[in-house]
Amino acid sequence: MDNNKNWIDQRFPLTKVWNEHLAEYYTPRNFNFWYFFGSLAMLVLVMQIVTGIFLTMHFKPDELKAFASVEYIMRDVNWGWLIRYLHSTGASAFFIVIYLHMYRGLLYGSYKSPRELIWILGMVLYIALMAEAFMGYVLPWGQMSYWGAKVIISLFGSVPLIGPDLLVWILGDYAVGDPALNRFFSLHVIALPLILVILVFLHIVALHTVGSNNPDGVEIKKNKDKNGIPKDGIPFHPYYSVKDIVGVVVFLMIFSAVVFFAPAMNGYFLEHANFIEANPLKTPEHIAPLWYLTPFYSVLRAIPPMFNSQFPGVVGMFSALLILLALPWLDRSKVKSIRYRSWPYKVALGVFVVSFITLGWLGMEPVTKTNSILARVFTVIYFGFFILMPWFTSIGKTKEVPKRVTGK
Amino acid sequence: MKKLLTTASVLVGLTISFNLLANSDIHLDHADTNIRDQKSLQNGAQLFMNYCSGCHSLSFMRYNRIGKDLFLGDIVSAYKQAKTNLSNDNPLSHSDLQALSNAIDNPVNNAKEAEKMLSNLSDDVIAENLSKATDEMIEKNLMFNADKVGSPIIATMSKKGAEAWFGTTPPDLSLVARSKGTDWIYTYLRSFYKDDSRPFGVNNKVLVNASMPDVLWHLKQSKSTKDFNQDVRDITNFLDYVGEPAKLVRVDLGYKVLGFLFILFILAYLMKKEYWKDVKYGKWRAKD
Repeated sequence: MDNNKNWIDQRFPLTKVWNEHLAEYYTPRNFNFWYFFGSLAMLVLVMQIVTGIFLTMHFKPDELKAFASVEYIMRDVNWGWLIRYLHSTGASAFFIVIYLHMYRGLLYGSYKSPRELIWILGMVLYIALMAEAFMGYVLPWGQMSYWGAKVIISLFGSVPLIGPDLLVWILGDYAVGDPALNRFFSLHVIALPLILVILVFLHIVALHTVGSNNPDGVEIKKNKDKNGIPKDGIPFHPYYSVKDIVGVVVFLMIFSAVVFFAPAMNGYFLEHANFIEANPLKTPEHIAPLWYLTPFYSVLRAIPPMFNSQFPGVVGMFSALLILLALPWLDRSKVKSIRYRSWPYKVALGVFVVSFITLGWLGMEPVTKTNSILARVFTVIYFGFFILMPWFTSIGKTKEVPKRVTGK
Repeated sequence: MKKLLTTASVLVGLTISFNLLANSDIHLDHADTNIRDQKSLQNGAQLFMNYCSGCHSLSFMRYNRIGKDLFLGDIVSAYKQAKTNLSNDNPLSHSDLQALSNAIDNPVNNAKEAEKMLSNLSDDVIAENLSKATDEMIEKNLMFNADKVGSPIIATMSKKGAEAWFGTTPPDLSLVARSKGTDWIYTYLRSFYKDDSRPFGVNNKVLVNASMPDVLWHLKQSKSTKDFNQDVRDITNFLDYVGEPAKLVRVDLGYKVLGFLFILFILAYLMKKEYWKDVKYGKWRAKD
């Protein structure tokens, strides 16, 4: 055994990598509930890739066959229904996990120096994930796939000057059709997963360079013992690997409950209208993207057309997404964790969460007068959180941060 | 290009005002179907084949799948019953003999004959024969439109004819329970009323100006309301099954998976606790 290990170590840094990233990667000993979601996101990514491989074996990216091939998977392929439900539920689960993971960052200031790059890589991951989910959603070629794609892609047509040409370039046609389906399939199964995997790798490399933050926002590397090991650190493996296994099992219990007992989640994970094949001649009464994209969809709808163009809404929607990248520099607070922050930040974060969830809910609802007013108010609050952040993070009295983690 | 731009903005506009066309709220009755009710599913399948399949396809459903999911169980249990009677030397009824013939794939007339022929057959062959008998039963009783038991259920009516007679092609109903829901089907089929202004003399409260005639009128008139409702419920139940055949096994499997995960959870939790003793009390306790 040792001989084999040596043989490999002389040719590949196996032991070195194992130690650096697991056995001797020192992690704060006070991780709480919120720290499960990073490893869960990795689990879901792997699951999506594995189930996706099997779905790709049976799916036909063809305008005339796509819808029927999904039903073929659901009926004639052995265990196809299970693989498809794992994949469709996995998409929603991915976003639930990612949103909680990002919220953890907001709670404990995980984006603050020296972790700005981790945050930025994570945000790019999030945007790539949205593109991945959107393109995957088009593939079953149901009514919502088709009309959702039509609406979202038509946004690019509103770009001044180049819009119409851009639209044709994206679609490979003058309307959503076979060429679009084919290129979305290619992007969904090759390009974007590859980008996601590379970004996850970079996200983790960056994390392991600076080390993990923790619920106290204390840098454990500032307190090392004589061997150079952080006093508040414990090796990731075995301590957090065994703890994460518990998290994984609990996650799988909730996940399986959805897969086996309510895979469509009453239209939230698999929309009712998507069980009708795409029909370019029949516009559905109500077009809405799946729940994880709706906060941004709400922002799009909240901004009224200006100069006869929908472009301002499109800019608004993308700004709502991209402004998150600036977070590390908008936050002027001296402390990281919510535990020691001043009250204005706590209030602002609460209001921000409410506005994000409300925007998400509004994005699923039909537009009414009240709903548009609400969407506008919450869009202003959403942007307000970021624009006013330099101000409200520098006022109010922060609590004193302990020298060592509290272990709570 | 200009046209394209207009289309794009119209589309975006459409999404913004999509609620204008939204359906007014129609009260839907609760269908109260039960996918575990085999008798209801069988009756629903028979009613569907007799009353609906002339015009509506179930193009994602194969005849033999219906046989396997809804009728094979009965044929297997009839065989088991007959075999018990046979081994206890009980008198065999006509249906017992039929069940034994199914298993043997040859007509048998008495217990002696059956016993002798069964002893030559392995369990696998018997299982195969029973499934063959199910297919034959489906071919005889449910298949009016196709000649192969493995084919999907396609309506007899031609597209051209449908357009001439109804002004539209009747939709495929494979997934109607998933897109419209069971309550909708159950209420729709029971909501036809007399309206002489319509070509077929009937209109529908759920789907106003439906092109479909009141196909079930004969059932409605010849039965009590309760029995008629049950028939419609059975059709609805059958369509729910057709929408997702996996539903028959999904939930049971779910309980098993959750049971397994629960045991795994206990083990994982105990393992975590064991390892973390170090962190609280020993090696990795906060060092000052």
